[in-house]
Amino acid sequence: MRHKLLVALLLGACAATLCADDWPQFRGAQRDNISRETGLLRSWPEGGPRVLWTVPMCEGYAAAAIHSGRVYVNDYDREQNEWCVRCLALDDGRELWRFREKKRIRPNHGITRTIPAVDGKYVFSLDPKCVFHCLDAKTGAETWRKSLVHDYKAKIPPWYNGQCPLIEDDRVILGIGGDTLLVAFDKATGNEIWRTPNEHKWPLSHSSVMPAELGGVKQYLWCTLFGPLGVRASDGKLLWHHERKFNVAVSPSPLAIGADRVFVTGPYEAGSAMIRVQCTGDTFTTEIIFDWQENEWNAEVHTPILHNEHLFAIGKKKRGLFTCMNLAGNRVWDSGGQAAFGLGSFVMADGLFFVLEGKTGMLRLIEASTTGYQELAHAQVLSGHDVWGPMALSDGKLVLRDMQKMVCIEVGQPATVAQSGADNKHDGGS
Amino acid sequence: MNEEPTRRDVLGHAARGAALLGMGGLIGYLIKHGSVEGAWRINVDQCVNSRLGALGVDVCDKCATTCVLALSAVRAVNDHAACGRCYICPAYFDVNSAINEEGLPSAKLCPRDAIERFEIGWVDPDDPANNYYEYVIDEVKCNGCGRCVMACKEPAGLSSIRLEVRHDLCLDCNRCSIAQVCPDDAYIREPTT
Repeated sequence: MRHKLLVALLLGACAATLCADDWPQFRGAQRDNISRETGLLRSWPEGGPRVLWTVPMCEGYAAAAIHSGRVYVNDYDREQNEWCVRCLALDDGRELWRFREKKRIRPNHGITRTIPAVDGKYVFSLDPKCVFHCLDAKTGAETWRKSLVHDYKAKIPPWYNGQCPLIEDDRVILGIGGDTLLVAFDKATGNEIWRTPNEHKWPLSHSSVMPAELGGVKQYLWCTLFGPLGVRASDGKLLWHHERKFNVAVSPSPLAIGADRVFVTGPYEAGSAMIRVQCTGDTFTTEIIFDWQENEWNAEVHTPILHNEHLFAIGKKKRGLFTCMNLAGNRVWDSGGQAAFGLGSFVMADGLFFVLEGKTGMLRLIEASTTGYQELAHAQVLSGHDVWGPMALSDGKLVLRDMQKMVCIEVGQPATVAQSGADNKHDGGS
Repeated sequence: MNEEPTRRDVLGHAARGAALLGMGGLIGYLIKHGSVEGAWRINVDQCVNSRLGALGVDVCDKCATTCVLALSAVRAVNDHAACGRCYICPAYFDVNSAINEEGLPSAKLCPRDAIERFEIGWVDPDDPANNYYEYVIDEVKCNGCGRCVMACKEPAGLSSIRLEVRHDLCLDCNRCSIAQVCPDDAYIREPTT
């Protein structure tokens, strides 16, 4: 009886407290920008969530991947002209190791970008000049590397690389450009599992590879300036391509909607489109469901979140309204009159959206509702301009950044051992 | 009650009339001659081409089309200190034009080809898309149409290009034809002192 009571108490405690989840790559474990953590705070203390640590960073948008209590982030040392991957402790922000390499990068809308992918054993990062590094997750020692420029004749895109690698099972997948569209590398050796030829020589842009299952076939989606495409996950065969023009760069990634649709959006007046992808026998076909060619709605940088049969994202118009749309492409609500987010980022967890104002660093906590904009809390967590870097959530800790620093705040239930964020301000050495 | 006006009344009325005439003349003189001390200027926070937040709207080309001069006294000016010096400048390229095999827009934005660019600084042969460029506006070609100004605006641009009135060209008309049609009341007269 006593044991039953103890078990019941433990289960109750687990249900009431936070359920931890890693954030091992761009858009999280399932690449959907949704954390599976629960028990997050629905209101914040006066003055905002507790700051657990602050680490200086080189100017840019490079953001965190989190695995097993470690934060992995790309950075740059301007004094030494060194590109780096840094590993920090999630608890207190102290640096555990740093991989560094001489690399001259010119500031142009920030210097650093993208997010590594981590599986606990390896860290994968595509550097600004499109060299792909596999590092030991414990030590930061390099295990293997590939140059997209020299090995695949790819061209470094304007504003440098903007792609984040995708890890799945035994492989890591990259979009390439040059003579190859996509490659799946064996994580341990860097050997190619397959490669997809790039017959049309579509250049590399800034979109990342996304997993999907369309028409019953597991595939990887990618988007070039010439439109989205799907590649069969088992052998790299190009299954379909929907010709659609994007302008200058395509930063958001293609998003699978259910079993037969793909949503794409892009900057520079490229608009957005919902595309139906169907499979008949061995043949895939595509057709437009709706296409906003220019100014109806588009996202400039961040890929929308699919939640509850609705799309959520920050649109370009009116200085960046956080917008909820249904899958027919109709706006359900937006943050007009309440908040504008510029090119800020957003993430979802536990029925909540965390949305950053790109011009000010104000963080807003919003109910993940399909009926209206309902703000629960806000706090001036970051500062300055161009606060565009994505956020990462793990173990009740939200890791986010502005142009100068990375900050970790407590958005889950407070830790039992009180810890002052003021004690955890680190020298970044950047 | 119907008293005849006295001499004092008549002299008082005459004095008041003279004073009013004098004040009117002085005001007229100041309007005419005082304006010489003013100049036409474009309020960039008011002009739709440069005003932040005015996105997805048509470019206003009134400065180019309504100035009494054959080539408008308004020109686009690039503040080089504020320019991002990007490889793909949205004011230089027509970002909506077809993409060529290099992934670049195939057409320029300026209808008069008034913007030139030059590579500056160190050039990485492996990385031509991230060189810096200096963008120079040829004022002999520019007619102030505002297209480049509209394109060089956040989020894509840094608002380094703006329209300015060239005072060495401006005829300084009291009834400026641009000011009369400016839809945003952005073309304003301001004292120069």
